[in-house]
Amino acid sequence: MARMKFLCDSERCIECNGCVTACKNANETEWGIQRRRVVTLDDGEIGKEVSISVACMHCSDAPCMAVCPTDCFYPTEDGLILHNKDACIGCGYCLYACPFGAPQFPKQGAFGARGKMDKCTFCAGGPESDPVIEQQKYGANRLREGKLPLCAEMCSTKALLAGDAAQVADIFRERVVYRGHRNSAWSSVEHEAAESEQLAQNAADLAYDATQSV
Amino acid sequence: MLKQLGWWDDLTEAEKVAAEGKDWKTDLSGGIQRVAIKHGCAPFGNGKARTIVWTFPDAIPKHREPLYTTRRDLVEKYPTWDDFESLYRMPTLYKSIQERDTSAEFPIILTSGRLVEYEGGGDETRSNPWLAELQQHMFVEINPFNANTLRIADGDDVWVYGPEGGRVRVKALVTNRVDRDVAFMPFHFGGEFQGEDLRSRYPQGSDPYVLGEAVNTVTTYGYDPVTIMQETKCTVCRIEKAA
Ligand code: SF4
Ligand code: SF4
Ligand code: SF4
Repeated sequence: MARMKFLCDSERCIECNGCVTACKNANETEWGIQRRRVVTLDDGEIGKEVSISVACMHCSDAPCMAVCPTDCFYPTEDGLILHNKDACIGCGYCLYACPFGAPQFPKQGAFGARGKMDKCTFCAGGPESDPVIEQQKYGANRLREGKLPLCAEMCSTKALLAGDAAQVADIFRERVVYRGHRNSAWSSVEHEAAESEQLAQNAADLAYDATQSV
Repeated sequence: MLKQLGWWDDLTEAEKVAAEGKDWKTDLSGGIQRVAIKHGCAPFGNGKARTIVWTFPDAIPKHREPLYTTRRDLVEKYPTWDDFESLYRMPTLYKSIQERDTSAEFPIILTSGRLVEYEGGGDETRSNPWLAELQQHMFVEINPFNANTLRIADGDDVWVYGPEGGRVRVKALVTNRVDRDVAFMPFHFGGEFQGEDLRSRYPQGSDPYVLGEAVNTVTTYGYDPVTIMQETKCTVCRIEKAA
């Protein structure tokens, strides 16, 4: 069984926000709702600046699902965590539970009342049988059309990978192996030899973790 | 390369650390460039074509200090051209602009440039909700050191003054992306002028989602003598916290 995962390669991400725009394009979320966002750390610090693109990570043991009082979350057989907007009461518990800040709420009505929660669906739509209504409520269902998430497909540097966890891990591991060598074709890593070996090991571990389903 | 040529030991110890694994483009210490030039080589390679264009004001390009500068010592060393009485039939000023010392009143270099989200004048991109959402305010990048001296916090409203009388009201972005001597503003904004919102002047339905001050309200006079391209990249400014 395929298990879908994201992986953002921070050595490659250039903070272009192409993925954020691609997501808007695919899902037409309203102003203020960005299912995917790019976070930059140590902005402007030479040699330290790093960017990573974050959305819902479709957790294996999803905290949002555990806390939701109306059980609006459900796992799919691809390992995705989707949700049912009809059940959502806008309580915001999932937002507090989520380690990635993925759930977002449109502002609705007076007193800052929250609307129905919206988050990344891995471009897999939601629980609606009519595709038109599904598109309106949840955005694109690209997976049903045999396509991968648009954010990853449109990533300008192929930093953002999405798809079957084993394949994503293989691609990432291969990159790490090449980058482990100083001045190899892909090298953007500028570290001492010992340090870069350690980093390669960390990254290989990370790639391995990504393949694990529990 | 330096190692193959046997010039590696011409680098100082500090330069060696910075130059390890680098080439002339990426060595920020300047060591590789310095040693190459000392040995009579162009750092970027001696095989590259170079040109003498005898019809240009400088037959071989050389540095001339910008018309507006914070470095008066460089004006002495690298003065600009004399004023042209006729350049493509237009009188064009150089020296008479540079002579005016603005460095006390305008101590920070100002440059402008592009944001990846936006393009050109920004009218199209700021009219696209997906892109407009990504950059909702015109801003000026200020180094934390300067911001501290000027008592400006990230996100504050500030006035940026140019030496020809223009001023813009923008948000401060306090960041190490810029050096202490430099401030940066993007050039994609328009629709506000010196603190005034001009949204009502757009023909109905044509106003972009996001408006902001245009950087060229504070950039200054200056033309390239060959192409007559205007100088929008290099001027000076003063930044003050807005009340
Ligand atoms: S919303 Fe947050 S907690 Fe829930 S699956 Fe996505 S990343 Fe995990
Ligand atoms: S997978 Fe689809 S919904 Fe999720 S961030 Fe990417 S484009 Fe947006
Ligand atoms: S499109 Fe790719 S490179 Fe650009 S911000 Fe997103 S993940 Fe990073």
